[in-house]
Amino acid sequence: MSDRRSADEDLLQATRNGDLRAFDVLYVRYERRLYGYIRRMVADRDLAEDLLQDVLLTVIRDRSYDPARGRFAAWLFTVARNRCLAQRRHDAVREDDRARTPPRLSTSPESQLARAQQVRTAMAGLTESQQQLLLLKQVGELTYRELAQIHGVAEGTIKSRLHAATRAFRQRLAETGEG
Amino acid sequence: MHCPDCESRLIDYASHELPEQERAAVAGHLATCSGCALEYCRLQADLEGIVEAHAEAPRADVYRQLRQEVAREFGPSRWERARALLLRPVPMYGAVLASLVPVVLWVLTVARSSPVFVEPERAPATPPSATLTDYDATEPPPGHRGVL
Repeated sequence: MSDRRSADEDLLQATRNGDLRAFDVLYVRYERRLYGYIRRMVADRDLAEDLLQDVLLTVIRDRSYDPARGRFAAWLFTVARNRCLAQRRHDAVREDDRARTPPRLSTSPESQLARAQQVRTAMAGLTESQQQLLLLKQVGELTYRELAQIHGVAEGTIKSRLHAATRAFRQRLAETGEG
Repeated sequence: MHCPDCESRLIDYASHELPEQERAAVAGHLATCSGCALEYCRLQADLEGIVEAHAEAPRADVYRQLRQEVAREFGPSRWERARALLLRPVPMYGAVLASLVPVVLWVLTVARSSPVFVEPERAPATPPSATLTDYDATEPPPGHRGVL
């Protein structure tokens, strides 16, 4: 089960059947994207890592997932989004200002690249829903249909929102680059 | 397709969300219009920037802990592992080697029980030189010996 082109759904099933190599492939495939997304949603690194484990274990344990109803990636990022939003709500109860505080930027060497900083700055200037849309589309690689299902709106609505978010992001990125 | 039509579809094109016919039309226009092609490249770079800026790997401990948890919860038990080992198909060379074991043992047994072949002593290549066996140099010659 070491084939890179194996479908996510097959890897998930193999993992449930005890094939750890399938789990390895699945983990490597989503590790950076999923963690990057969670990291954007919650500021604390330790908490983000806990959430990553929690999300992955949830999707492996939850046998209610039906591949016929949608791709694994969409389900994975839906679970991650819900878990992160729940965590945010939980944090907001404890610390009222936490939800309004933009997450700290990573201190990894990658994040020190000027381009990455510009992108993050431009993203931080968008509304929360615009950031969510762009992250789920680009990092999560979800389709318009999957985004529409997650947000509970029509596909056309998602399309127009994503266009607006993309234009706003690019405009802010250009301004950041000039500044 | 004209440039305004192409530009309005670039985001969908980059997102792989266009129907096949429209996708082909946009691709055809990009192949002939350098302005739109440049705009598309910039859009792609900006969108890829989002991925690069937000892709981040967790610490290695996370993977180790998660793998242990998955192995504990979903991995096969000892009994299942032993059973799988027993049911594992034997490769052909293994079967051949296993079938040769009794033959080798039989050959060894037979070789041990058969009489040992001793090679006869071989005659020396040159004949021995003539030697006197009853000669004693301290005795007087036979002519000087007493008759009685």
